[in-house]
Formats: sequence, structure tokens, C-alpha cells
Amino acid sequence: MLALLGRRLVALAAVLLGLTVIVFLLQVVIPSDPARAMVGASASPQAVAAKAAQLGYDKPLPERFANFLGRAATGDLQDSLRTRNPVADDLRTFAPATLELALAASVLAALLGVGLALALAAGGRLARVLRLMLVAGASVPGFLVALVAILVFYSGLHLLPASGRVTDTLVLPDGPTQLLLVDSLVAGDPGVFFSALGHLVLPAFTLALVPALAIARTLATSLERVMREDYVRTARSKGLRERAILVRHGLRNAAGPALTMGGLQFGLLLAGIVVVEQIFSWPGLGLYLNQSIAFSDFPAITGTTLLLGTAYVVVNFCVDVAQAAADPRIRTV
Amino acid sequence: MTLPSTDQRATAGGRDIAPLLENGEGDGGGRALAMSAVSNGAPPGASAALGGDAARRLWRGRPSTDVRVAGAGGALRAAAGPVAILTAIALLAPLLAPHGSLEVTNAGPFAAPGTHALLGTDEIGRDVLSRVLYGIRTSWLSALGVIAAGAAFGSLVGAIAGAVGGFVDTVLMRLTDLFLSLPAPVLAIAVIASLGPSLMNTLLALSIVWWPWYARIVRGEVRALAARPHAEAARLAGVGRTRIVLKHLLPGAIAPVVVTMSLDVGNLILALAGLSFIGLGAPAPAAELGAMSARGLDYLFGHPWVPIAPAVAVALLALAANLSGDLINRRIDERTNR
Amino acid sequence: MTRWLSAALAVLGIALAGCGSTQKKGATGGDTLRIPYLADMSVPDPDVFYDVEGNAVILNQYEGLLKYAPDSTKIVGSLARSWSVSPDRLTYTFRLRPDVRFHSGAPLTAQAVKRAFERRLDVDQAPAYMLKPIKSMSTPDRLTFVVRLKSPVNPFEAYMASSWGPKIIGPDAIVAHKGNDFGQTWLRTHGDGTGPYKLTAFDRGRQYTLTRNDEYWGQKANFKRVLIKITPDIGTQRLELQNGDLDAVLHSFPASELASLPSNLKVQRADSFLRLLLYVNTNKPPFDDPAVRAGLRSTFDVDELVRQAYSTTATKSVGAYPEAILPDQPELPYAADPAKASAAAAKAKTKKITFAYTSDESGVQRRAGELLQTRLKPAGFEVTLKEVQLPQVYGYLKNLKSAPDLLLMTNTPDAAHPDTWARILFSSSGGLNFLGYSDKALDKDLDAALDAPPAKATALYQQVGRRLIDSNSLFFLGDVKDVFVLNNDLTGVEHVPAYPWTVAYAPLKRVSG
Repeated sequence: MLALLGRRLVALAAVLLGLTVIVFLLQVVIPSDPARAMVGASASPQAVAAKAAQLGYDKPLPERFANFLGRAATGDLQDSLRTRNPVADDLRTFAPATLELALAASVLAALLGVGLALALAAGGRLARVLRLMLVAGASVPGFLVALVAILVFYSGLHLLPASGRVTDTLVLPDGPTQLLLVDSLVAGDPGVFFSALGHLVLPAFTLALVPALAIARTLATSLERVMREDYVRTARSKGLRERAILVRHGLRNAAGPALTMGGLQFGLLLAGIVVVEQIFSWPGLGLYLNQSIAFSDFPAITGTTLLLGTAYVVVNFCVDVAQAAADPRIRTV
Repeated sequence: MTLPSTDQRATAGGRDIAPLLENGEGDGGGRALAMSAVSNGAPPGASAALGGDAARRLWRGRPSTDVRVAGAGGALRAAAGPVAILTAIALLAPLLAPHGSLEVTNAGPFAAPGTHALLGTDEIGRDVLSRVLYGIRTSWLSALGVIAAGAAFGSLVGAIAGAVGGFVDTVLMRLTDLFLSLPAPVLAIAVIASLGPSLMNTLLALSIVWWPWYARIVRGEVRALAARPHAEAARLAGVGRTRIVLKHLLPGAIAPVVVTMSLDVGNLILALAGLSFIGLGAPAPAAELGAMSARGLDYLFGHPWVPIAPAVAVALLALAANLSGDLINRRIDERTNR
Repeated sequence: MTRWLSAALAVLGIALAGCGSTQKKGATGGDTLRIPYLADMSVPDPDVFYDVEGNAVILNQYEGLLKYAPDSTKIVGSLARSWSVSPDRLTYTFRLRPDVRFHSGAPLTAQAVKRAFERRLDVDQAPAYMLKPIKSMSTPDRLTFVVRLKSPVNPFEAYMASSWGPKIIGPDAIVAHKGNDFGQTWLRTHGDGTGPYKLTAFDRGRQYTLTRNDEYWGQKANFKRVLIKITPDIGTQRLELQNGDLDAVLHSFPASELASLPSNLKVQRADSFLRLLLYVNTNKPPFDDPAVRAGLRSTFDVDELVRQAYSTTATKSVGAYPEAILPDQPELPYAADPAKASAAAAKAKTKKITFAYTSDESGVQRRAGELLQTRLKPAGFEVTLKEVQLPQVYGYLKNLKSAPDLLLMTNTPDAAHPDTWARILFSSSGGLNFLGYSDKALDKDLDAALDAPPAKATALYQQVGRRLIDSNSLFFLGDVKDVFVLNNDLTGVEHVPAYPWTVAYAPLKRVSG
């Protein structure tokens, strides 16, 4: 177990280094003049040169990469060209909103996924219809889902808000986690809690839809296989009801692949946020990334890519380790 | 867990591929297919899982009692029709479209759908139907192109790794692992954001992140098949290594690759549309469905046909691709399980 | 298993209904004004800020010595009650209002003004150039501030009134939170101005909160609070405006959608100095040939372009400068003539050209670019259209041979003075002269105009305009209007053409019924 952990940690470091190299190379290949963009159109050539020197853009590439790596290792991701803040500070500002959204979407995806899988595995006409619906659902572009959701639940039914994380006039608790659902509970503020919950529904659902379908399909496939097993037949012959078997034996034994899928999907959520946060005005990393792309703000793009990439790698690392801990056979692989 | 949870994980003979597919040497399952998360519109993992299933059942020759799920087969078979039609549209778009994709028609900007223009005209006065047709062509052919490139390169790497084994195998597979572990969607966004949006850059970025999964599938298949009696017999009969790989091993790997490819097309279409939607696809004035939809959103309320027609086209295209993927998956499944 | 599913759906439904009940229809009303921004502003620090998005946050919070009167280019006193210029145009004496306090409570003094000017020079970011001509500053008494220039600078008063001109920042930033960067860190999320609103919260990515300054020296604001909400999707903005969750969308509303607004919304248009420009790369074929360039005059139908791209939100440009900032300008000789256009294009060394346009949120430049492309094609050019971002555009000067042949973008002068337009756009070293057009004689005229007597200067600016029009290196296509979409019950829109995308929040009020 320890050896596996060690090997995985080394792999983790290698992947992060690879990511850093790629991301760094990307920001140097493009012809642009960030120094000029920063000091403005009316600045003198001297001022531009001074800024370029200050930002280190005048140094040779290997030196720039070494500086970049050294600083990144200490958590210094340079200053954003747009917000002028250290990128690390900006990421700290924007990350909690994304984390909250991603967590909510994960929970929703798990619940929906398991529910759908059970319905699928139970068979019958419903399963057939559902199966087609899954394929259809998987074919709808995310932005279309988001727009329809806003048109129906916000504009049409006036049930849910279309933008933001919480009602704009509320005073937010400054809690330890920066997750509004948690902090508002800690602070005993039901107003913020329910407002935050309401704001979460549409973006979380939009984000969760795809992973939920993926989990449902994986889980349903494993469930069907489990239900053909000898011990299930034995259970049947003992007179246990089909539903009881499905839940008691089926879910337990079919959970493995679905768990892996869930872990993968959590990482994937991180990419979906760019579209979802844009449409729902969610003040998270996706919004930050999008604004930075529009400004060719390379330090910010780089920092966000590194953070999202790291989160992705780490989450899957955890899933691996959890799986290995649960199933001894994997350790030898 | 005390009950043997079926043999869904590989037993000794299966060696690599099953754990790789289901629990992964960590980084397996569908990560390369993960690009669709950009579009936030497809279950990449789902296709991986299905592809994995089929692959596994293929080489294990496990009898299937999967009757219930196959119930939807009729509907799936019906999907072959739309796919054929869409492919025809993609290939014949220049002949079918009443106007050029960039041609400004006489109808003027924002003409409502009607006899002049079946789906209306856009903000410049171009025919929306023609642009959607050209957009289908771009999306469809691009998706096929990226997949073909990814599958070809991945298969090559996988075949070499599997056949040669040893040090080469280790190096190639570690490299593959590295690419599998990179956050593909985020990376693709970064690649395009840096290189600047163009159709070529977008396809390049997608191809870069799309091949590793194929490498793993092929490598696993080749390794598994190499251990089988007929390969062993060929080796004993003095057949050359390259010949064994080409004649005995690679053909066996083709089925799971085709399955995975077929399930990938839908994801790629959505991934392309998603990237275009956030401005990282083909720049204006190219007729690209995601971009047309995103740019048309400004006119959603006054002139809804401008954004909605391309969005619906994306959905239909992906639906047809996904249904046909399911169909192919099932066909191969049935054939091998017979 | 259907039971499971229906149970799950029921739970979801209850949750939805529960959350929904906290959301009332139309959050607006009362004493809070809600306004969306498409993107975050860079920083709310007047000495660093040099963009358009965010202007309103600065101008409602800070004041300069001078300002422009509403809907005009007339300079009037702001924090300066009166001012005078010496006959040699080197000494400017500003007499300050006596009754002004900063948001932090400190009184406005000449010393504070001097400190604010010095800070701008110390910070030395983009807008510092306006103070570079200053030789010395003095404070003869508590409310008198005197500036001496190195040489006469005609637009100096315009600088003082500019949207990006020196704002008088209070001691809270400059002294109390100075730090080691002249208070830049503190000013990224705080403010200390003298204006009708104070910045009370700056949640990047979410919303900025401006709260009424009850101690304001002038007409006090009607709304107690202004919330500026980051809403990156214009469609969402429109829906929220329609549903009453926003009060007004003050920029980037798609022009084509104005006609389909519901009856609870109204549209107001106001003149601005934002102009649609087409740059021509004169440093490489085919447009290094003046004859080929001249053909562009006959290629475009500017009327049609402006109408189609902007519908009712822009007008065809009439001169090299915005109409209001220079009298008697030479006319623009643009007229569509396909035969002439083709004849000129036939002389081109290469027919393959790259046409770049800058990305903007409302997509109007893309649309204009696509329209222009459709006109270049019949003339005989093979056009590749390309969307670019501003930092890339700044990079063109480094290698003009690989820069695009045509570049479409909008620009606005820093103030309502011809020099603030010509110097950055026309002169060889101009910061917005992105494709490096250079004419030494023109540069000389511009420099001469800087300290020439006013009548002579005007003549020089006209001459410069004529030279530039004749060079065909820059095409002036449209004058873009500011468009405000408001809830019907909102009145009191006050706008200055030199302050783009900006509305004074203080006079806005809600009329009931």
C-alpha cells in the first residue's frame, strides 16, 4: 500500500511538472506585448521597456522558465495583468465558489446517477425509455441545457434565480470555509443558506447532468452483470424480492466502476465550469479564466490552468488510493 | 467485500486490460475521452465504460444474457438512417445548400424563416440553413478527422508497446499515462487560448489529448492476445514478430478500437461545439455550429432562429452519433457473444 | 424501482420549491439601483485604471478639478470652484471648493490635491502622461493650487476634465494605507474620493457596492446604494432586466434587439466619442501602394455598414475627429463605387489579405468585420478574417510585416480635445497607432499645435486631419452612441460624451407608478 502511494506520488509530481512545462511554453509562443498592454497606449517606449524588464519578459527562455518554476513552487504565480493582484490571491478569491458548485454538482450527480441506474437495472418499459433518454440527454450541448433551464425556471416560472451565488443584498458571513452553505450554517444564518441553495440549483444541475448520465450507464451495466451471478440466483431461490436483491447485493458489488467513474467525472466538472459559470454569472474560476482569456492575461491563464489541473490530478489520485484501499487485488497491479 | 464481485476485474489471464478499464492503473477509464467536459455535454466516461465492456467481452468470449437492455435495439437500428443522412449532408453540403456559407442573400439581415430562407437569415443576411449545413459538414468531418488521427497514432503507440514489450513498453506506457493524467479539457482550453482560436488549432489541441486512450486499449489487447494459444503457435512455427503483430494481434484489437471510436464521435462533436461556444473554435465568419449558436445568442429574443437552429443541429448530430455508437457497440457485442 | 425515482424527484421538487420561495419576482425597487457589468473592471484605482468598463465606478466615486458639463464639451469646475490661466499659458491657478470632505472625513485642501497629483506621477501607470508636462506645483494657501508647466500645453484643461484625468484621492489611501506601493494594494478594493458615492465593497467577480455619500457637497444621490453586478452573458442581463432584477443595462446591449424590447423597458441613446476605425497596414503589400489604398475609399458603403452593424446606435462619421471636438473639419471622401474599387484592387501586388478585428462583448465589431469582408471580396481581395485581443494588437508594432493588412476596432479620445485624439492615433509614435503609419510632416504639425495659440492650433489640427484622410491609412467609419436600456420607472440619465459607458448615478431616480 505504501509502495503504491509512493509510486503514485512520484507520478503526481511528474504530471504536474509536465503540465507546468506545457503551460509555460504556451504563454511564450504567442506574439503579444503584455507590458505595453499594462502600461497603456500613451506610455513612452522607455516605460514599456521598464515594465517588460520588471515582468522579466526580456530574459532568455530557460531563465524565464527557471524563474517561473521557482516562483510557482513557492506559490507565487506572478501578478495578473488585468487585476494587478498576485494571481495566487485571485485564485483564492475565486476558488471557493467553484469548489462549492463542483461539490454540489457531484452530490447531485451521484444521487441522480444511482437513481437512474437502479431504474435502468430494474428493467421494464421504463428502463427502455430511460435508456433512450440517456443517450438523448448525452447529446445536448451544455450551453443549451443552461439556457433552457434559465428560460424555464427563471424567466418562465420565476422559481429560481438566473445569476450569481446568493441574493445581492445579503450580508455574507465570513466563515472559515468560504463555502456559503457551510459558513451560513456555522453562522446560523438561514437567509444566506437558503438563498445560496436556491442559486446553486440551476448551475449545479446543468453541471451534474452529464456526469449523472455517465454514472448511471456505468452502474447499470455493472448491475446487470451482477444480477446474473450465481449468488444472486441463490438469493432469488431463497425467495428474496428482486428489489431487495438489487439494492442489497447489486449496488454493493457494482459500486466499484461507478466510483471510479465518479472520481473521473469530478475532475471533468472542472472543465465544464467555464461554460456554466459564464452563463450563470457564477463568480468562480471559470469566470476568472474566461475574463483572463479575453484579456490575454497569461499569468492568470497559467495559474488557473495549473490549479484546475492539480485539482484534477489530485482528485483522481485520491480515488485510486481509495479503490486500492478497498480492494486488495488492485495493489498488485 | 466478501462476495466475489463477479469477475468484472481481470483474472490472471486477462492481465492488464480489465483493471485498466475499470479501476484503472489509476488513470485509465475515459480520461482521454474527457474532452467532452469542455462542451459539458457528453458522458465521456460512459462511452469508455461501454467501450470497455464490449472490449472485455470480446476477448473473453463471455456469453451474454443481456436481453433486457437489447430491447431498445429496434430504436437504435433506426438511428442508422439519420447517421447515413447526416453523413450524406456533410459530404454534399456544398451541393445541398441553397447559398454559400458566407454569401449574403437578397433577403437582408434577420429575415424570418419563410419561403425565401427556410431557416431565416442571420445578422449579416446570410442564409441560416446553408450555414447550418456547412456547419454540420465542419463538425462531422472534424470529429471524424480528430478521431481517426487519435486512433491511428494511439494504436501505433499501443501496438509497438504491446508487441515489443520490455523497456520500450514501459517508456511508451509511462508517456501515455502522463498524457492521460493531464487534465485534457483544461489543457485544450489553454492550448487554444494561447495559440489563438482557429479551426486548425482547435483540432490540434483535441488530437493532442485524444490519442492516449487508444494506445492503452490496443496495448492491452495486443498483450492479451499474445498470450493466447494461436499466437503462441504462430511464434513456435517461426512466424516473424512483425507478422504476428499484423496478422494475429492487431486484427483482434480492431474491434474495441472501433467501438470506442464510434462512441467518441458524439463527444467530439459536443467538445468542438463547446470550445467554439466560449470563443475557442473556428473564428468568424466560418460556419461552425457552436460559434454560430454562441454569437447568435445576442439575438435570442428578437430573432431566435439565429442561435437556435445551429444549437439544435449540434444536438441532432450528437444524438445520431451517440445512437449509432450504441448500435455498433451492440452489434459487435452480439456478434462476438453468439 | 419507479418508486425510488419518484421519491428522488419528489425530494428534488420540494427542495426546488423551498429555495424558490425565497426568490421573489423582481428584486428591484426601493432604494437600491442594480446595474450589470459584462466583465470585471481592472482596478478601481484612478491612477492605474485606463479602460472603459469600470469608468462609472471611478467617476461616481472620485472627482477631478474640472469636468465636462452634461451632454457637452464645455469644461466646468468640479472640485475647483474657479480657475485661471496665465497669459503665457504656463501657470494654472485652481481655487478649490471650501466645503468638500473626503469619504474618510478629511477635508479637501490644496495640499491634498498636490499629494494626489504627486501620487499619479509616482505610480506612473498609463494615465500619468497627463501630468508629465508639469514643472512644479505649489499651494499658496489652503484652498489654492497652482500648477506651472514646462511649456504651454493646449489640452491641459481637457486633461483635468478627462475621464482618466487626475482624480483627487483622499489621504486614507495616500497616507494611511500607503504601504510601499503608494497605496495601490489598498486601492484595489477600497476607495477614498469626494464623489456622491463611496465604494463600500469590491467583491471581484461578483459585485461592487457603492453607497451614497450623505456628506456630499453637491446634489445628493437619490439611490442609497448602487450594486454593480458581474453578469457576463448579455442574454442573462436582458432577462433579468425584463424580470425587474436589474434596473438598467448601460452598455453593449445588442442593437438589433432594441426593437423587440418588452413594454416595461425604454431605450435612451446619447452621443459618445467612441468611433469605429479601420486601420490600414501601409508597411507591406498590397496597401503600401497608395493607389491600392485609395481604392478602399470606393470599396465600402459606410452608410450601409453602420446601419447593418449598429442599426440605430451609431451614425456615419463625418470627419477625422469626433464632430464635437473640432469645428469645420474636412469631409470624408468615402463613396461606394464597385468599378473604381475593382480597378484599384487590380493593381494590388497580392490579393490575399488578413483582416483583424478586436473582440468585443456585444460582437458588433465582428459583425462589422464580416460586412466589410463581404465588400472586399467582390473588389477582388481574398480576405482571411481574424479575431484578436488588445495585447496582441499592441504586439503588431514589433513586426509590422506579419501584422494584419486591415484592423478594425473602436477607440475613444481621452478627452474632448483634438490633441487627445490625433496624438495617440495619427502621430508616428502614437500609442494607438497600431499599424505604425508614419508621416513626419504630420508629426511636426501636431507638435506645433500643442503650444500654438488657439486659432493657429485649430487650423493645424484641421490640416493634420486632412493629411491623414488623404493618406488613406486610417478610415473613420462610424460614431458609436452610448445606449442605455432602462426600466420605465427610472429617470434622470445624465451623460457626458467624453465619458463612455458612464452615467452619473446620483441624479438617477425611480418615479413610482
